[in-house]
Amino acid sequence: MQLKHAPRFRRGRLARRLAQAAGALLGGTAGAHAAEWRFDTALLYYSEADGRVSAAEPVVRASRVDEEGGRELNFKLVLDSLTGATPTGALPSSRPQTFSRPSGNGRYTVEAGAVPLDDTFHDTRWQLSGDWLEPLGRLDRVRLGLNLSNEYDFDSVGASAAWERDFNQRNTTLLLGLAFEADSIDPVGGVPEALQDVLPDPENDPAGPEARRARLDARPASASRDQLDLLVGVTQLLDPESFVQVNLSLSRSDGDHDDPYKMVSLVRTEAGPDQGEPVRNVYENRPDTRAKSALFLRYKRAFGRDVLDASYRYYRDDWGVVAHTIELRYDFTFASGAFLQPHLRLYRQQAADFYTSWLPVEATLPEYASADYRLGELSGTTIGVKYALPLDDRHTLEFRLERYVQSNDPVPGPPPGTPEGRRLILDTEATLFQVRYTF
Amino acid sequence: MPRSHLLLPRAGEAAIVILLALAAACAPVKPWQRGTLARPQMAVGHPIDDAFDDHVYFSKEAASGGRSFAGGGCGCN
Repeated sequence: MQLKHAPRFRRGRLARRLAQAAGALLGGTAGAHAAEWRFDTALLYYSEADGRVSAAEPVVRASRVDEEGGRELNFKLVLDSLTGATPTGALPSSRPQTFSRPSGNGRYTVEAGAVPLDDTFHDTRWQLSGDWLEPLGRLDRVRLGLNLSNEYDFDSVGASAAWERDFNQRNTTLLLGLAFEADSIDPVGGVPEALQDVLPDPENDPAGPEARRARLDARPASASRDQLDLLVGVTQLLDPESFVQVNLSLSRSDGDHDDPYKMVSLVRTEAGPDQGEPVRNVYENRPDTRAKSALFLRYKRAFGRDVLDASYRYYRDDWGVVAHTIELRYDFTFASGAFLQPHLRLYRQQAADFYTSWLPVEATLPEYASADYRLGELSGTTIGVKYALPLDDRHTLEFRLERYVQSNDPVPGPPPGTPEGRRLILDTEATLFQVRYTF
Repeated sequence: MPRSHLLLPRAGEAAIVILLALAAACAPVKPWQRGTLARPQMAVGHPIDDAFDDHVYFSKEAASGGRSFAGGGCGCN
C-alpha cells in the first residue's frame, strides 16, 4: 500500500511545487524574489549568390528570470521564410533538360550545361519552443524543454530534459541531457519511390496522364522519423579568467531519412555519342537509421576586457560522414563596453559512404545512393564580424555580418566523357546579416 | 551498414576523465574571484547566434550536434 501511494504523493508534491514556481515566475507575486520579463529579438537575413536560397528569419525570445532563486522560463518564436532555387542532385547535360515539378503538375527546363536547380523552393516555417529551468536544492538544476515546428511539408515535435550539477566548490558542472524528436514528412507530390525513375515532365510522360495520376495516387502521403539524443557535458573553471567545456552528444534516428526532392543521375559511361551524359534520373535512397556522435571542446578566456572563444568539434556517423569544425571568436572590447568580434569558422567533411554525384547507367543500382551535395565531400569557411553595443543594463544592440563559402567536389570525380570545364556541382556562397536588440 | 561507434564515446570519456583530473589539479576559483566569469561575454553560449548558426549549418552540412542536441526540428536536411 505504501509503495502504491508513495509515487502519487510525490507526484502531487512535485506538481504543487511546479505550480508554485510557475506562479512565482509568471505572476511575480508569490515568490520572495523579483522576476521580470526580458525580451531578445533578432532578424536574420540569409542570402545565397546566383538566385539560390534566401531566407528572412525573425525571432522573439521572452525570458522570465528570477535572478536570486535561479529559476528561468523561456519562450521562443521563430518564423522562417525561404525562397529560391536549390540543386536537385541531377547532373548537367549537353542538351536542355526538362523536369517535372515535385507535385507532378508543371515543369521546368534547365539550359544545356547548367547544373539543375529546382526554382520552386519556397517555404514558411514557424517554430515555438519553451524551456523551464528549476533549481533543485543548492547545486542541482533541471531544464525541461518543448519544441514544436511546422513547415508546409514537415512537422516536428520535440521534448528535452537536462540535469546539471555543480560540484568541486562550483568549479565543475556536469550536464546530462536527453531529447526526443518526432518528425512527420509530407512531401509535395507524396513520398517518391526510392531508386525509381523520377516522374517525367508531364507533357512528355510516356505512361500517359492516367497512369501518371495512378502513380502519384499510389504514393504514401507522408513518412515519419524519430530521433533520440543523449548529451553529456562537463564545464570546468580553470582560473578566474577561463574555463573549458567538453560535450559528447550521441544521437540515433529511425525512419525516413530521404530528401524527397533529390535525385541521382544515371550516366552513360561506355564509349559512344552520349558518353558522360545523364540518361535517366532516379530518386535517392538513404538508410532508415542514422547514429551520430560528436565530441565538442571549447576554451574560453578573458584577456583583460577582451574575450577569446575557441572550439573544436569532431563528428562522425554510421553513414561514413566524418567532419571537423574549428571556430574562433575574439571580442575586442572598448572601454564603453561595446565590442567588435571577428569570427572564423572552418569546416571539412568526408562524404557519406553512399554519396555519389552520379551512377553508371550500365551497372546495377546500389542499395543506397544520394547525390545531395550536403552529404558529399565538402569544406566550408565562414568569416564574419559582430559589433555589440550595450546601451544600458538591459538594452543591447548587435549587428552581425558573415560570409559563408562552401566548396564541393564530385565523388567519384566527373564521369568519363564529361566535357572539359563543365561544373557538376555548384559551390555555395552565402551572406548572413543579423540585427539583435534586447530589452 | 554496421560501423563501430565505440571510438568516439571512448574519446569523449577520455576527454571527460582528463578534464576531471584537471579539475582536481586546478586551485578552485572562489566565489569572490568570479567577476570576470560572470560577464555576459563569458557566457557558455549565445542564445540567438547559436540557434541561427545551428539552423544554417544543419541545412548546409551533414554534421550536427556537439555543442548541444543534434536534432534540428527542421525539414531542411
